[in-house]
Amino acid sequence: MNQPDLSIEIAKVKFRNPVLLAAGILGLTAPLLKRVFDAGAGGVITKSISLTPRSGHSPPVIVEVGKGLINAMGLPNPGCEAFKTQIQKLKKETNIPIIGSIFGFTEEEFKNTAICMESAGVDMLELNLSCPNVNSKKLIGQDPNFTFQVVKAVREKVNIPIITKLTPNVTDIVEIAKAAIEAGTDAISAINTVKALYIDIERGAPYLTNKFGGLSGPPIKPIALRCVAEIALYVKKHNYKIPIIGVGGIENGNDAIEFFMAGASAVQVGTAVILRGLSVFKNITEEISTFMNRKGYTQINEIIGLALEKLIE
Amino acid sequence: MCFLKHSKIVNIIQEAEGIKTFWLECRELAQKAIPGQFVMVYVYDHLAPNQKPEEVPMSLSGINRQEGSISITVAERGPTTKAIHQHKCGDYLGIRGPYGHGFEPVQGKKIAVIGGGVGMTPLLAFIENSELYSNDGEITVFVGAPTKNRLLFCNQLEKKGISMIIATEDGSAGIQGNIVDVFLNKLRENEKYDEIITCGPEPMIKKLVEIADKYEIPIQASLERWIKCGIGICGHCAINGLRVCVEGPVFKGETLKQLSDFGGFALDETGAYKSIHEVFNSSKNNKNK
Repeated sequence: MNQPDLSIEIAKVKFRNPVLLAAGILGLTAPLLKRVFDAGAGGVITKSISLTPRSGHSPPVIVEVGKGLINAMGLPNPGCEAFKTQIQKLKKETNIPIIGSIFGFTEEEFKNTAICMESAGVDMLELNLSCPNVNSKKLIGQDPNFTFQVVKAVREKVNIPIITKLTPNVTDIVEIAKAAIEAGTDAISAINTVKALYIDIERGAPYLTNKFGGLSGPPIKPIALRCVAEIALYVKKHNYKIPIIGVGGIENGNDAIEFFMAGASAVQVGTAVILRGLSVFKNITEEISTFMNRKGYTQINEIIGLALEKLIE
Repeated sequence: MCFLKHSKIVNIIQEAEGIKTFWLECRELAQKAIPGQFVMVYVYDHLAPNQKPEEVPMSLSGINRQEGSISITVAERGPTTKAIHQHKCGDYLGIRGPYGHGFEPVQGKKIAVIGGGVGMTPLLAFIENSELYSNDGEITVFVGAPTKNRLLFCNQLEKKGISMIIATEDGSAGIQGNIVDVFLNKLRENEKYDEIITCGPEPMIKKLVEIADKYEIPIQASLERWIKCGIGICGHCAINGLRVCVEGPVFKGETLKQLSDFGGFALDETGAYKSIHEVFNSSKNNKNK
């Protein structure tokens, strides 16, 4: 039995398989990122990096809720200059596609962090827009204008492809996707975490230091899937060539296939690393292959967007 | 499975100046936990005005499966551990866990348990938990500390009739000198050991791993890194490609020999890759909470 071809291409960057490591999970050092790649990921996304170092919130920063996680880490990271060393180390040891996740509180910060990460040698950037705009209570990704400005600012300064990661904490995610596309993003990833809360009833108080946090993992999968489908329908309607990367609760091959059928060209896995261990990447690619063999598909392209027609009807 | 268990303090023991052991009622955890594992301790009572609740990682110093209780041994160093020290029997601490890879059962008979300072904490759990070694196992405990009043658990071990060798840097108790040198001298005097179990400052562990390698003795060591999530997802506790909160804190000597970060490098609170000295000896670090 021939193995189906799981390789994909996003904005001209080739990946050996469509199952990538999501931002924020383990991606702090070269050895950890290499370990994830060796475990079978098609590519890796780093921890979200800012211009200057951040300690993040003091613990408690995570809480398990069913199969999901609410996290309020507070975007801790060593800052771009320090993190460059890890990227350079990784590039020396492997040829794995590295996507640098970046964030900032202003256009200027986004721009400068983007330039820094590009010079470090990442193959692509993923813009984490789930951070507050410094002059507003809104997250950058909750406002189409902020989104447009940030994506445009980065687009003007870097040559490598840009993925814009969207937050689901909006009324209409398509409106935000539209802004990112108009500003020149090469791809879109959806979704970031869903704003959530855990109350410790023994104390009658929120448990996380930051009070609210972001829910990730299997509980958000149906929401993530719906967002990917909505964005994919919009992209299809306008004939845009904008690949979508699905993220949110993907745990196994069936989940990944749902996302491909909803219009995603690739998926990211994060929380499932806790649920299934680091072999989750290899497991998911094998499960995808099994499905494809059973159904007679030989390439991922054959599945992408398969369910969209039925959604339009 | 309950993520966070508010556990009642049922016993408090003053071990040394500024160091107390707290026994907590935690039935489920007591059944599951293995020596070498740790818990995340959520402290929200006895806080100073404007002090926020905080969660800190602590090794288990005791596991009592019959009573359904576990213990942590806490040195008062900063605001959070100070708050813990104000707790009385009947007060509560939030516990989640147990986490990490604990000690594995020891194959041989003659076991050297070597502890420096508060490194004795997980070692006490190992010693008291005879599931990990054979009935005719002979344990010799090497206890080291800078000075007499920083020695831990000696009275307890003495009462149990466990063979003990004490060393203090200033000579205020036991042999004057470094516990690793004392152990090395024993090896040079032709004492044979089947396994070494250790915990303490990383330079101490590094020396022991080198000695173990030279004398071909298997060694299990409990390491420490900056822990944030405790469940293997954030990467802050990384040592090379391994996570102290999942693949550790207990590592075998064979593994440690391959890790270039061992004895040298760690990540700080921001996740920046720095020398161990910078991360653990700065005034603001995970050990001074």
